[in-house]
Amino acid sequence: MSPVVTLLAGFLILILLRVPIAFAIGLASLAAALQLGLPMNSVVNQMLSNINSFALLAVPFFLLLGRLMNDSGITDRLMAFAQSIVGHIRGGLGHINVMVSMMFASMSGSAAADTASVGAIMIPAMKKAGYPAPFAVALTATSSTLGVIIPPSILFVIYGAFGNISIAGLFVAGILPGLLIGLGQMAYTYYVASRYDVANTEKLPWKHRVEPTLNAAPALLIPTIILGGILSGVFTATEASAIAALVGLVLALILYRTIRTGALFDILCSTVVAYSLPMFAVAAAGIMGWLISYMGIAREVADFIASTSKHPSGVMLMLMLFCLVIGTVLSPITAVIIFLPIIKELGVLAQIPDIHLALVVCLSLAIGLTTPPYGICLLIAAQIGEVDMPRAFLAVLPIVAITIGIILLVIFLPGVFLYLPRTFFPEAFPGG
Amino acid sequence: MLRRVNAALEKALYLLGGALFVVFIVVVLFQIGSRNLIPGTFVWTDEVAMFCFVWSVFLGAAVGLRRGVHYVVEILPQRFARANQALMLLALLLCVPLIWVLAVNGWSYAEMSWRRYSFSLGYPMFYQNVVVAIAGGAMALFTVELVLRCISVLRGDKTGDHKTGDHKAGGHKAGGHKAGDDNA
Repeated sequence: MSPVVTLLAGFLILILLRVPIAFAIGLASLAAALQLGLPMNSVVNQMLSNINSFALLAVPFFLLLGRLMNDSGITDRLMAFAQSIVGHIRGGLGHINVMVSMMFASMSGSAAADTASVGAIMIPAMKKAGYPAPFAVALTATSSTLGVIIPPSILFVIYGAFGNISIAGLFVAGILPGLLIGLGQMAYTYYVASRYDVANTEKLPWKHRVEPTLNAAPALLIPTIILGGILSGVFTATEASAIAALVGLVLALILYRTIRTGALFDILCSTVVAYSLPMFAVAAAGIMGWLISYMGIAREVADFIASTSKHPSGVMLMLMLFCLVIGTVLSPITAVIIFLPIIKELGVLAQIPDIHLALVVCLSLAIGLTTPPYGICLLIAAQIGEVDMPRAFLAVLPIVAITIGIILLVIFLPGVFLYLPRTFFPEAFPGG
Repeated sequence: MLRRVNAALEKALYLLGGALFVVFIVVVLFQIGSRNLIPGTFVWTDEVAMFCFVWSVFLGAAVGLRRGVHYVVEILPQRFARANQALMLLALLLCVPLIWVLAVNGWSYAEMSWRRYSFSLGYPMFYQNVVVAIAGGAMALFTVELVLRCISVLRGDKTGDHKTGDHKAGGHKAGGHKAGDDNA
């Protein structure tokens, strides 16, 4: 059996046998490395060198911020704010769900944290208001994936760091597709609310909208600091994440006083466990990515995809399909670490700008967070909504179709979707 | 006995991870402050932050193994409790080779790095790299406990669950964890 088969088939068999994904990646890589006669110390070396990246230091801060937002009631304030803005429109609760996820995404960049916190409140509320439970679950899960696209996105940080691409450029590129997907989800919510004749809440007079706005205003400073700091060049992505977490701490401990100082250390300890899981997977994925490069698979796969179409759009369509498939079994971060050599190779072959390719890849992989078997956001939302996975998955499909529609627009209208990053970061487009 | 040792070990790793995270946060904030407010830069801050990060990742991963919060793909519905328990046992045993490499090769790799020094502070890289072996050792101990717990549950020993403490019987749940996804 060739080491390539050992690597890929071994991984699939192991995850089917309920081996934790990070361990399955490591074990399959170990078996392939043994077949190739590579020293085991190199395996350890690859794990360590993969997480020895300064850009990854942003991940703990974004996850800490997500945790602080949940525990300090910042998410609740954002919900009250969203309710005052969009609550009265038909499908109000659904719009609030999407809008809070967009705001959450602009602060934490963590999709699962968003599903857990927003879902715990919005799913029961939506069910009670008359929305079908599978729709409430599906909307919560899919809107959470905006965290992967709307800056600051942890996936963009990692893609930029490992692909040697401007992280700030990726952040800017994520704004337009993120907003369009959010608006698309709101439009679909409007349709569902009309179809099921869900009653909307009364429109609040302007004076009653002031209080929730003022309550949420300090929290809304966080995305301003992150994006403003990065775009103006004052902060790197890691520094912006640290400042954002500091602001979150100040809000929770001093301004809102919703977290006791004594409870803070436990929050920090549990955040360590929370970020160590994906980072351990990143370490393990580093071995697999290394082996893929070592065995020359990257070149072969890239050649194969490029042979099916010479046109950049055709190559990106193939890449989108590839990412939709691998996204069902791998988390976006792990998939990026493993397959980045192939993606970069394709970019070179088809002469596609790195940021354009990254957008298509990250948008496609984000869908995997809502598709079984490894749809972590859908799993969390389905648990909260007490909906079985097949029904939840069926409800997800129309919303996923909206995202795929936006990805197709990204593929075929590069002039529109690359306008912002090209304007702010022309140096990220060496070919012009 | 093993349960108590592992519970204490898990607690120690959990608290140590938290303490390292505190240092990490302080150092990164100091770095930003010093870069923008004080003339001159401090290169050592990068090294300390990375040291704390690498250590906390591996310690947290070991804690996560005992708590059963590493992500798994659940193929069988939860009503097949016995079959899932058997799969869990098999999965734990399958993890052993990787844990072995982390512990044994992690140690030999760390020993090789006694003569490699960090760039600015000049400490031997052994101190950073040894965490792989420490995490591997802790994972080995946790795995023995989890395997015994699984066998006990499969045998129908009702006490197997609570004998082993505060966590579900070796359950690696994909969806039960609050904010730990790769998030992305």
